[in-house]
Amino acid sequence: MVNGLDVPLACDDRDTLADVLRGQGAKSVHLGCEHGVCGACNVLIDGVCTRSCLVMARSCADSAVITLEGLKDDLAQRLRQAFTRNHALQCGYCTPGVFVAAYEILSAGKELDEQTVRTQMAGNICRCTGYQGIVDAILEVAAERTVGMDIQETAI
Amino acid sequence: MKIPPVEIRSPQSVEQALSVLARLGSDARILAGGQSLLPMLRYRVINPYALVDISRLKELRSLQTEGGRLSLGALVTHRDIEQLPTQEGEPSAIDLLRRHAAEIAFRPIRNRGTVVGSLLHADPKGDWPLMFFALAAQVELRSLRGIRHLSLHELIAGPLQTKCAVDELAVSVTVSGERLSPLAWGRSKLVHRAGEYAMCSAIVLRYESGWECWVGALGDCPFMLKTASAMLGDAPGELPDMETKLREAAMQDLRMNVPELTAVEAYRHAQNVMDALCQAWPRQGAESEIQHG
Repeated sequence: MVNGLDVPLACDDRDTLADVLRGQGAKSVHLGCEHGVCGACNVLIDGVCTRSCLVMARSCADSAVITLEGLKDDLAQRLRQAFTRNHALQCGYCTPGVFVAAYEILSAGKELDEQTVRTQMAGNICRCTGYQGIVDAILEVAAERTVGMDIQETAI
Repeated sequence: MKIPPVEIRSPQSVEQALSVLARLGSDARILAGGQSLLPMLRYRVINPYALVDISRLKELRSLQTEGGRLSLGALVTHRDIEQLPTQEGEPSAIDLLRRHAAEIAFRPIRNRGTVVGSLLHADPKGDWPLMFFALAAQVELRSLRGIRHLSLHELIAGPLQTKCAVDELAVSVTVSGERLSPLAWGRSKLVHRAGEYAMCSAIVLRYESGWECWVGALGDCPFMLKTASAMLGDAPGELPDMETKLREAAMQDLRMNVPELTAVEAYRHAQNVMDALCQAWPRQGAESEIQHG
């Protein structure tokens, strides 16, 4: 399953998940290094952020894969807006991988400080932004989330 | 580079996997997490005929912490260890394992890479071989011919080389109760940039029987610094007094094990051992506490 749709796994044994996803039209999956260092190929496999360049497509036959194209929920929308507000992207090449990694971290719901965000996001290389905008965007959404929760509690 | 042409076999059980291995032998490599294997395929370091994909075999996901033993199935990931739930009265080394896991590569790699896979990969710069050498772990190897249990010392033959037979599958690694409960521990991993392999890596353990200073990321496989460990004895004085002598003993041990080490490299590794030791050193007025980094 890819981005919520059942898709036949028509591929060669040698194809990685990244190759197959791009072949199916999920062009957000970027092949920056193809050996697991840059993070531009990050996708969610069964909710877990993974290097699609280091996973064989056949291994995912029973899994639900989500690429950037498939991230549309409330958290994803707020994160997109935060990316824009904070200049978290310039050329955009690293962005899908950054976004998926950030989404996974924010989904965990834990409190985040700058140091934790930088450590958890260490697996994404960005040549353009100098990372500060990315960190700011993530911290902003993390803070929003806390505010959102407070408002809900008050409403009760 | 792209993955070279290769066939994937997807056995439905461990038994089936063993049959496939028995037939293919050295033409096959096991695919578990693939985080070390796939880069090797891309660089053409290896070029097997087939990959035996065990990544979906649920029976290999077991992680047992009962009875003071720690047993990790072949598909337990680095992230599983990093995220081990805290339990009241857990053995003291569990937190050592968590901290060690947390510093492996990057989060997405930890999400998929496996502990047992790392041991069988036997990269001299790898993180888990050092840990499981120090904890005197046993690895269970299965084949159609039977079951073997090997210590890390028996398993790892050299850089990227193990004594695992071509028809054998490593199904688990186990640490027994005593080794899981050191009186004190410390660890230190020196890297230049986040996520890199260690430049220096050390684990220090203290048991009733004495101290052990273990060093990894150096030579063919992890080793213990015998002189430095013996010097620590069981009633260490003040660390600042002993520090110079300990560091010199460590440098001596290091250069004996790895003769080609330069003086600067030996110093760097020795200092890293001292950093680990500081965490394990008994603090004033805290004799009964478990000391750790």
